[in-house]
Amino acid sequence: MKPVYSLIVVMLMLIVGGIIVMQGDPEEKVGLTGVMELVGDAQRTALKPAMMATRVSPAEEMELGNRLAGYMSFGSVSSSDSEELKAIELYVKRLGRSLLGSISRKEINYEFHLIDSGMVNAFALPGGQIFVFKGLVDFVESEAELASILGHEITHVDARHCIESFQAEMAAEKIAGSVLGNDRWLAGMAMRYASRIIQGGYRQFQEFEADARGLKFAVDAGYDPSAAEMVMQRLGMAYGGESKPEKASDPVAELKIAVKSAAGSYFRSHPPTVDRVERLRRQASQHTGKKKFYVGKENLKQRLTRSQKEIPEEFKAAR
Amino acid sequence: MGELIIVSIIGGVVVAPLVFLVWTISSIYSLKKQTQYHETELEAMQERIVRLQSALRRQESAGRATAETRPPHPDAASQPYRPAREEVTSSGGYGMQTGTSPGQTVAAAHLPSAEAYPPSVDLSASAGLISAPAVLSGDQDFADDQEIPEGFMPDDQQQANAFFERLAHEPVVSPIRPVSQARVSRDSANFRPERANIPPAADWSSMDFESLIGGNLMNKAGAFLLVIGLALFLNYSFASLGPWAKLASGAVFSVLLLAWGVFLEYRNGGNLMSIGLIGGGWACLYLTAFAAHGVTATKVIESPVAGMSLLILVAAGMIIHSLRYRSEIATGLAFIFAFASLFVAEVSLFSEVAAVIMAIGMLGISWYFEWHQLAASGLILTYGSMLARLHWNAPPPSLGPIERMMFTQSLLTVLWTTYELVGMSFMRRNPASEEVTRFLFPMNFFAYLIASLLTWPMVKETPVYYLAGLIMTQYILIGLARGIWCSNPGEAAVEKSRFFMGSCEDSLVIAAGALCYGIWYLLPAPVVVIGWAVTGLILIEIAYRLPWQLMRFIGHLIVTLAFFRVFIANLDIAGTSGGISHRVLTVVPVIFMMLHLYFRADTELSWEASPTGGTRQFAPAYSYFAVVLAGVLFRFEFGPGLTPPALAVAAVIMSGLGQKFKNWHFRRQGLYLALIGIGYGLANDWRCDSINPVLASPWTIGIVTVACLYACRWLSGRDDMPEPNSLLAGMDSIRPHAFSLAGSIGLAFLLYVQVSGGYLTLAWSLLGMGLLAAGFACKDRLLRFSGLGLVLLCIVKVFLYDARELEAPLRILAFMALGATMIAISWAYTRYKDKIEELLK
Repeated sequence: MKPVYSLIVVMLMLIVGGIIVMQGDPEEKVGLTGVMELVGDAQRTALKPAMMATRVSPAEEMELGNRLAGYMSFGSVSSSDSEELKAIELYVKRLGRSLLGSISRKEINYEFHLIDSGMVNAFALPGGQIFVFKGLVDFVESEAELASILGHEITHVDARHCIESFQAEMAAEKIAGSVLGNDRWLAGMAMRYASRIIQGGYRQFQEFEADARGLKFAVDAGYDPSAAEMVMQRLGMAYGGESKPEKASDPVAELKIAVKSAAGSYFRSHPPTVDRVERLRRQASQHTGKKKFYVGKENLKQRLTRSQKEIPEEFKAAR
Repeated sequence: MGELIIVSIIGGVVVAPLVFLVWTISSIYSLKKQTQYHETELEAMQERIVRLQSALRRQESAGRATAETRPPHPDAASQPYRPAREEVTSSGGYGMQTGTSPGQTVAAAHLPSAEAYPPSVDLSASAGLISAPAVLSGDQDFADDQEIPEGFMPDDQQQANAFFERLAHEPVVSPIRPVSQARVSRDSANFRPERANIPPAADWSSMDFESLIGGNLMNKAGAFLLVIGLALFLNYSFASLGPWAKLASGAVFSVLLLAWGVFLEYRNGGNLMSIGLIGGGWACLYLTAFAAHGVTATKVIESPVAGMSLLILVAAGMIIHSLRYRSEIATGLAFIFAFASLFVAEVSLFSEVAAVIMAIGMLGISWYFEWHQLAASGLILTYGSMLARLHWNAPPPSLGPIERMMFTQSLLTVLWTTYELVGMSFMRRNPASEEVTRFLFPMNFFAYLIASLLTWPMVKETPVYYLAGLIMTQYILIGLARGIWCSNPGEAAVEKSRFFMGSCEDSLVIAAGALCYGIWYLLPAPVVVIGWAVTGLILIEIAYRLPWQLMRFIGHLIVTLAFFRVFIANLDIAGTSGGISHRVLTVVPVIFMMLHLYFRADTELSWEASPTGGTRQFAPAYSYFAVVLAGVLFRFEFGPGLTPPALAVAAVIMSGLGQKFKNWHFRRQGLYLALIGIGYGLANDWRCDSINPVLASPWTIGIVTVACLYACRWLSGRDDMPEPNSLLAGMDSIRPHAFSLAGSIGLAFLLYVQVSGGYLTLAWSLLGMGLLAAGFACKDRLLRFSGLGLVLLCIVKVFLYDARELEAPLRILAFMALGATMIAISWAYTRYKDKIEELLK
């Protein structure tokens, strides 16, 4: 092709592309989050051999999980707690188990716990120990929303996010055990901090991955794909989302702001809520067609899972 | 009233002493310089006469000696000098001029040999004293560094004596001549009006210190006191005078200064004092005209148009008067005073217009007389005074901030245009113009930019991109004007060190810079990259068609910036138009642009080979830019899960293109893409988050990726391997093995992820066998080694893991499977030994 023809084609592509984007109200987002994601990918790939070499067996992982869960027992529901709490915990356990159909690590035994606290949160420990705060159950508006959150925490276990943060520490303790004896925890602690710094680059990626696969678990179980996006949006509004920065005065100032924010975001455990909502929305929008998904608002109120009581009115079509 | 006092103080206390001081210093310096010059010249002349007469005497004796020793020769008349030179060389042993031209040989033979010169006399120095005036005056007489015509023989002694006599008595022409007079040689005599009467220079040799003090300095001191008294009188009387009377006083004072200067000029032919007085007179007259409208206490002209007309009238008077004197210093002084006079008034539209009119007048003069220094210093003066007044004085209450900024910017634009036009006319008149003229363009650009940026923030609501747009428009227009009107120095592409010295190219480059800023400010963040890419592409294309080096580099720079811009504004964005993401819509055209630029630059000459500094060395960078953008687009568009197959397919394409075009850059890029793809696959355990069950399966992702890697291996096996004479070539030679190994690792890892622990040994054993067989079939040693390595890995696994961790049935299965595999391999090696050896050949 003659240069003049390729020039014309390229110019047309550029101009047409620009015009089309201008019509679609493009997002004014400038920053190094994309670059940081690529850096995280590189870190993840580079650490893969180390993670595989220090990988622990499912039995070891579950043992560690049980040990750690024992420390968390301060707020767990006990036999003396009210019937309501017990019902909620049972509800959470049933719902959690219903989401395990598409997990990849079948050898892990998942356990779901309720913590009697008003905090709106949930977390996972290695070996399938999932903890949900009562405040979160009160905060969600449907069973589908709670399912997406539980799916998120299940993914942290299934994708080894939880155990990987302990692997380096455990390996260091094993290796240093013969040398340091009872003081091997020192090596473990040093390795813990080192691994946190190294893994900090892709911790946000793990959150995105947990969102995505958690939603998949929920959808595979028949729950509404838009529930995850809605609950995340409400969480962001209730607990402070990040405001968009003002436009910089010039390109150099813009770059400075981007570099500053990138350096600060490296050690953030969770990505900005706006980005999470956006990604969840994009993923949910892939579910089109006539298939109906379950919402389960009434199920949540009655603390009865869909498997216990399926209400026909709770089905809704995908967007 | 306050203005009046300031006017009188400026007029009486500042202007006059300044004039006096400048004049005094200048006259003393001039006097000293002239005296020294004449003394030196007289000494040189005397020494010269003595030296030349001595040379003649020696020449005479040498001529006689030559006549005695020279044998008769039939061509003696045509070769009269050679024997003499030889004799002088052999007998005297002195160094002799050995010029290559016949004339020089003649001069060396007949005129001063080294013997004839006293050791302290420098020939070149002595020649310069005479030759400069002789050349300037157009005199045809001969100096001692000139050729002596044929036939000038020592016998013509009388003629020679007359010649040197004439030289000795020739009136000296001063080598210090005004610029305008020196310039006459370029233009015709009718082009510039000659000065009416140039009186003879004063006889400075007779002046002594006493006359300097009594006859000159006392005179000027008296004038100084007179001016002081006059200023005090004006200050006193202004309290009780009306506006008309004040203006009349100013006008009278100005005219007196002017008349005094003219009178002194008429009497002694003009010196610095007369020039200074005339310049000061004009400045004061201008100030008076300005005060007639611009100063409240003396405002008698209400109409701004009338006030401006009066100023133009006075400025015209200055110009006309300056035409007569052709003194750059005098005109410069006049303009300094005129500009200084503006400082007494408050900032207003009128004062700014007055400044611009003065600047235009000054530029007209500097253009007419080709006074480059005046133009350059005037530029600084104009912009500087405008800025100083804007920031020193309180804003005019009559003008709002927007109006003030608008008229200031308008005036700055007028100034800028004028300087550009004058600079262009200088260049047009003389393309090889002085450097100071060529620097007018960058000076004007920076002064205008700084002035604009300083005045722009007066109105914070007005976005700066308006200014960028304004500058862009101006420089596009002026660039076209330069291209059409001026001879373009940018076409001299060999000037690699030139930096925007006034070419059309430079102007367009500046416009492009402003345009890029405006694009960044105006367009949404994801579209900025499109704007920059288009700008850079246009610049590069223009610069290809015209051999414009700077523009080409700036175009490449803008395109490179666009590439990096993608990473901060186009990757991690949401939003779609018509179902296509904004990321794809913005990045894909940029990728194609990079490919276009790659092929475009690759057809160019290299930097060393091209007289215009080719940019072929940038070509590989563009191909890498395109591949990197494609890679990151896959990553963000498909997510990490689908990235491995996408990159692997891209690797196949690049390998194929590399083979088709015999391009090693493409081939290497194929390898890099494949390796990154396999890295992503391993990091993600071949998982994908797609809702499509086929795509979500690790089998799909892994097999597609590995298949692509083996395809690359097959393609790369058909390449002509380069000579391993460099590290890069060495890496190229192992490229097929890298593909092969990556594919094997990917496949083994896929089995590791997908096959549970008990069956993994069996799966790996089968894979090892498969790889071995494929290695034989494809005659690929690395593939065979991969297969064997995998089988060995199975042995290790069986003993270290399976034996300990697996349940009994699976453990048995693992051992049996591995054993069977190894036996099968061994049997195959034994049974088909001959065939295998044949295959291995």
